Amino acid sequence: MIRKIDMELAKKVFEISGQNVYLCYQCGKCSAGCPVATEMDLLPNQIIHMVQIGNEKALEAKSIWICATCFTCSVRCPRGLDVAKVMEALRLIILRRGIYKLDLRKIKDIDKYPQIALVGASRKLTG
Amino acid sequence: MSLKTIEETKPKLKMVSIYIMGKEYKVPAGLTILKAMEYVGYRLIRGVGCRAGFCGACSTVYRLKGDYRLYTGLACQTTIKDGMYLVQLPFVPAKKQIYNIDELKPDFASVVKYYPEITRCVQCNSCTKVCPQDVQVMDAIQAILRGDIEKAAHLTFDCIACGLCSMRCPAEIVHYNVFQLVRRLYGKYIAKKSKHLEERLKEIEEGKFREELDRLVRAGPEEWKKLYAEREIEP
Amino acid sequence: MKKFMYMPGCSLKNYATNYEKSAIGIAKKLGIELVELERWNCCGVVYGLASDSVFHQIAAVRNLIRAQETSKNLGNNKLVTLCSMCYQVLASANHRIKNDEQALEALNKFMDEEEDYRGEIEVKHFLAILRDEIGFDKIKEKIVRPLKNLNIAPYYGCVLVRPKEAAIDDPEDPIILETLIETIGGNPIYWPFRTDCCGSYNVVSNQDIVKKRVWNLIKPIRDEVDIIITVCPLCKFNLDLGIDFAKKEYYIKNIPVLYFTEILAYALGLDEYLDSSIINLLENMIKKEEVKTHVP
Repeated sequence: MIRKIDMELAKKVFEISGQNVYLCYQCGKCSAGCPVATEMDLLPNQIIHMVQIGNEKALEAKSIWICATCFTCSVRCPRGLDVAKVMEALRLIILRRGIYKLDLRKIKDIDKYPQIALVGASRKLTG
Repeated sequence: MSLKTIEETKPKLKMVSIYIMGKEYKVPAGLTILKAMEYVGYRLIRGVGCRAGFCGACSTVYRLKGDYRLYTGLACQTTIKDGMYLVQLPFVPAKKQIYNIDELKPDFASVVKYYPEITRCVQCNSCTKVCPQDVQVMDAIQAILRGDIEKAAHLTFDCIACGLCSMRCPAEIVHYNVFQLVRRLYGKYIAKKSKHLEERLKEIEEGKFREELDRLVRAGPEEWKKLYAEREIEP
Repeated sequence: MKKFMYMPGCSLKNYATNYEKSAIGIAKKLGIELVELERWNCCGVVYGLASDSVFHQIAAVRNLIRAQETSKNLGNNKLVTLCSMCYQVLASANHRIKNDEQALEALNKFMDEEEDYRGEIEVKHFLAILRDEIGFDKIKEKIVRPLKNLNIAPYYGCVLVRPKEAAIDDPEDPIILETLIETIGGNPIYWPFRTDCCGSYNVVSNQDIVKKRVWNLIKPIRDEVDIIITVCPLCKFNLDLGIDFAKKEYYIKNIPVLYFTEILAYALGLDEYLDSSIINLLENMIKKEEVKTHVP
């Protein structure tokens, strides 16, 4: 059974991030170094593979929102693929549809956080 | 010597074109937007208020012919220009949060509790650009983000809550409600207390002026007229 | 006094005032004046990674324009920051502007109420200034109160050493903070996770992730470490949260988290630029250390 590979998602990711996901050869260094990999439902290298074959379920993963943008994956990729930018592109595809992933009014004890945490979260999780 | 007709001696008004809701009207130059709309026959019951540039009711957005830029102003204060495409904002949707000022402190945490969207500010400066009162809106929001309530209160003193900033803000902040809270915090907790006011209020509560006021109330029109005529006037 | 432009960042005026106070004291002692920019704004905390949009770089470039305006009178084009998140955002934005003409043009056109940014500013982190402009040797000469072999673990976090265009040291094996600790007489302990992420802004939406993350980070050093030093107010918040949780859950000892400027200021004898609680804490720790080494 041959599955047709859909390049639309990879093209969209390239438009937003300038990164060519087809560079990835699944070595797994990004997932090994990712600090929050244990909390993710799909590992970074799995997400990249899904983008390569055009599986839109990558956009529904929790992983892209747990990503802390620490750049560990980007500096370790042997092919020079900026994985952090790919994650950001997937986030932006959702955010640019007007979907917010953080409800600022529902944060418990919001006044106990320093502004650096709140501004960072607002920037990454809301459009 | 030929007599001129009334028509010929009438001073010629310079007429300019303005567009209200897309329809062209010719109005005399030099009128304000508000007066121009009434000149062509609109009766305004919304989006109009003090007519003196102070209440913030008549926010207007407009463009000029051949210019991509978006301009804003108060209809009662802005003179019409030829080719103005006008849109009046009768109302700006904004929910004001309910808070108890006695329970708050003058710091960033108190403001972010009620208006957490201020953390979404991207410093695009669209708010400052549209302010008809030249308030430095972005700088005020930044001062609040830093916890500098005093600076934000001073910067927003001239705000008339017209709502133009909130309509342009991509982060969906309602600036004037945030500033209202900030100024209240400043007035209650940071501004210096006026000692003679507190003393006078105490005197009033203790009834120091009760007798005099009662006597005055019971005096009657004749007495009032006499007191008024004999009142102390500074030279 | 050499003058450098200085951009504090929101936290330094509010949550991390001790970071700023100690840094200003250190700068003064070493012959530097930090000139705060007028009208700076929040940098945005996280760097916008979209290549097709400059929207999230507006905040950073606006600050660079302010620096450009101030540099005319100062004769110096270096902008110093303390918060490492501010540093990375400004440095990466600066890097993008210098290599992407279209982005620069779009930003200049959008910010038509400001002067055009010409790409002349250099962004430096305070640590890099200490290393490059002054030199750790010169700093060592001015130490009056060495930290007597206290076990100090340096926590770099992410954005001081990543991504490559902004990094001030090697991302896998940095040594700048260890060199600083040695300069002030402390004992830098080897921490394999010193460049691993603390969890960052996830603390807002999901505190459990951060608590677990910090526990995993401090596990290998939790017994031998005396103090952890950090360069970022967000890392400090997350570490404090995680250590607090680990104390209750796993009964570890208390590990104070300080900014690197606080221990340096203590070593330089700058009491007036430090909180008294920090001075007491360090003095007590050093006393305990001396007792340990004097066991016959």
